[in-house]
Amino acid sequence: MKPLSEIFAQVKDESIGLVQDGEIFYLVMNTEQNLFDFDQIQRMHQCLDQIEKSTGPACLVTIGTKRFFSTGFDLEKWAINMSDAYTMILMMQQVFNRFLTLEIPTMSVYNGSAIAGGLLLSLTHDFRIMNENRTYVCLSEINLGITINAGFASIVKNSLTPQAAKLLTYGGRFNAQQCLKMGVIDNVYKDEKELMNQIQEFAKVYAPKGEARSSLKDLKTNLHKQTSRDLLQEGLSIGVVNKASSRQKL
Amino acid sequence: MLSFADIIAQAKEEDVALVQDKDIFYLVLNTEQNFLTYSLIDKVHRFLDQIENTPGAGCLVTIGTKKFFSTGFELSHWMKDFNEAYVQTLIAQKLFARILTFEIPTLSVFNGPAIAGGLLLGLAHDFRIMKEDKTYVCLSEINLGFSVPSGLSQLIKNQVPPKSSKNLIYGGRFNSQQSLKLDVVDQLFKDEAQMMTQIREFAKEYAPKGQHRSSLRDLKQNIHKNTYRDLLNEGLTLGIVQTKSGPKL
Repeated sequence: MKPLSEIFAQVKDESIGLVQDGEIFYLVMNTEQNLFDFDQIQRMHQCLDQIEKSTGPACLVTIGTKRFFSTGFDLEKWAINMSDAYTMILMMQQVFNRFLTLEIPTMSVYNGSAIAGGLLLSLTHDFRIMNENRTYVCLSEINLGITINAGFASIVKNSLTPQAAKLLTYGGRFNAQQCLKMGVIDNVYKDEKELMNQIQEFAKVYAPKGEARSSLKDLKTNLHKQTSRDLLQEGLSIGVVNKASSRQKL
Repeated sequence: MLSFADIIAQAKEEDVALVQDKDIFYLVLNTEQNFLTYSLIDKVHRFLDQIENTPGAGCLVTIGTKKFFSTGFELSHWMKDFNEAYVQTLIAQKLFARILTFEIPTLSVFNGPAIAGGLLLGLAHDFRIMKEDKTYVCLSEINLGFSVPSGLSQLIKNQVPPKSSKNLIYGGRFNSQQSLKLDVVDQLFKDEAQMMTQIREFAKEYAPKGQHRSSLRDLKQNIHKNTYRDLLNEGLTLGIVQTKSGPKL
């Protein structure tokens, strides 16, 4: 099993990259905040395409390399143009749906804090493990006075108990022990050694379950049926028309 | 009150039987593996009809008598004939929908392992208790490369918390302690004596709640609205035409 430094080195200067180590696909998010914007969404799709082109047993480990796991959407880009915000949300919903129903087992590693959209990304994964030190999760939208749309809210509801969901909604910060107690995460790790052990254990048990790709995809699509449907359909009609100047096609 | 030995005796050689002990209706699964065959499902429907024809307080206790609670569908048949898979899935969905919204409180007793469709049968009940030793649950479909059909998967989604469903789908075996922790079961029993005590306590508290049959049925249909609807509607249209030789739905 390759050490993390080697995995991260393979991503070079890219903001995000896919690195394969045996049966483990690492989705490596390589910037300080790992913000979501149109380019990032595009790159995520490419990484998922690469996974879907491969065959055989495999699992996905999504991990950040620097201070944060991800802090979600680049709100500065939203502030410029309502149309861009609208489009970005819908495109992110499509990516989230792909992660949610991915044909191999998935695990998110909170190398650092997961905030807002970053937390949502990790909730589309099957499993989550968290750095014990100085790391927290926070669904911060309400603190900024903004809401969470129906598609994203469906992810929160789908992956957590009602108790945990309602605690998160109010924008509090929860550390590793609290997250473990709430069932937001499945395990905590102290240091890189423990992290690599947990990744190795995960791959050992779960990569083989990724062998029957189309069955696992179907199973997850069935299991998460309502959320998948919500991610693909919610928010399409808010009565806002895409301006001619808006670059992005949906 | 009947002992477990009495109940087994009354089931005689039948593969499935209904044995009444005052306000407890025992649905006795009396074979080694308790496969979900056409014959078993048909008989269970007739027993449920029988219960619906006897008004008053009551509760249902579904229990196996031999090694397994149930190991689900006979997959060897499915491999030979896709028609079987399609029809049996729909027939099982209909049965599970009926049990899920049944007009009296329901309890499954995992006397032995509950695997695949057998686990789904257990999940369609209100409550589950499990033998502590040498018993496990396992949603084994993915191990064989199968998915879980859309209707049936809603039992996994809606009857256990999210943390449990995501663990169950990966086909691992969960022993009694793990199943209790995952909220797949409500209680564990060490031996037959403890099992019968728990069944009687269940009946004492819950059989009276079965007095108002149509209200309880309606309540369960409302609480389990989405699961019930999905069990009845999902999987009907695959674009596959049933061959003449297949059974009627």
